[in-house]
Amino acid sequence: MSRGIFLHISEGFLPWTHAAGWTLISAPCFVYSLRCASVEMAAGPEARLRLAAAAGFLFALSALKLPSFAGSCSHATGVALGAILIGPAVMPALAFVVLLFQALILAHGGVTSLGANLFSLGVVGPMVAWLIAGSSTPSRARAFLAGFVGSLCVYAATSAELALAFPDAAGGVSSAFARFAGLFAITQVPISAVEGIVTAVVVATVNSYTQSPGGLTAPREVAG
Amino acid sequence: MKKGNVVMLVAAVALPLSFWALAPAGTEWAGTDDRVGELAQPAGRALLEGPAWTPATERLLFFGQATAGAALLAGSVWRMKARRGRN
Repeated sequence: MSRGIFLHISEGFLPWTHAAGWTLISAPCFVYSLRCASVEMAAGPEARLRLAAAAGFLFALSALKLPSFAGSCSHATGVALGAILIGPAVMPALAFVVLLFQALILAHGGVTSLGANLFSLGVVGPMVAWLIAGSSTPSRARAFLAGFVGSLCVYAATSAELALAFPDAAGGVSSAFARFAGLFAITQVPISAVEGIVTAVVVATVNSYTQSPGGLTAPREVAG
Repeated sequence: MKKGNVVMLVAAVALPLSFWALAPAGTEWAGTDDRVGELAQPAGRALLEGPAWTPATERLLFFGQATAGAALLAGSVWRMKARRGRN
């Protein structure tokens, strides 16, 4: 089986200083996220269902491998739904479960690269999606954009992490980032477009069945 | 479900299928993986290597994860719909 990168950086690929650094950056996000998730769990059955829907969406789309016209496969991310419905603060906890499952069972990603992968999938992508959506009941166009750009930003963050670890001998980090991002873009732009459409559909469906908007209040509830 | 959502749902299912239909012959399962791997090689020490599955088993596991996630999502939406119906 090919051991490589896909969306998630594989075990042993990052220098240990980078792996430790990304773990230190991601750890507080994960701890805060656990707190937010427990608040969401205690907020009632509807909030729990929203959390379950977000987890299911992330679990499904992060394993949905699609071929690109360039002759290679990649997978979507599924970060936007939870960020829109509940808020970005709960996403690191959900992403951690997905990343750990994939690292241990699917040999996809890794334990040493968990911090870097958690930062891109659990922090950057959801935050961008949340900022674009602007509310827990966005229009279809905004939900599409949140899914599309959020997914692309996960790959942009992964490219940046790789570029920092493997700078170009001549062009440095920026040149390496352009090369990594260029490789990902070939497969990821069309797949992210699909993710944007699926996100818009599921957001509209979930919001048509919920009685109170969730989402953007969750981080403030915890902070207060 | 609103008509617009039905149209988008059909598009959301049809688009990935069209990707598989239009993909070039010999599309690699791990193509992007290999290409990025040419630029980045292991630079650290692996703490824990995951299991080495055969390609068929790996695809089955990916499909299983996607199916489990879809089931959780569908179940949650179904419960939301049932709760709304009761209220």
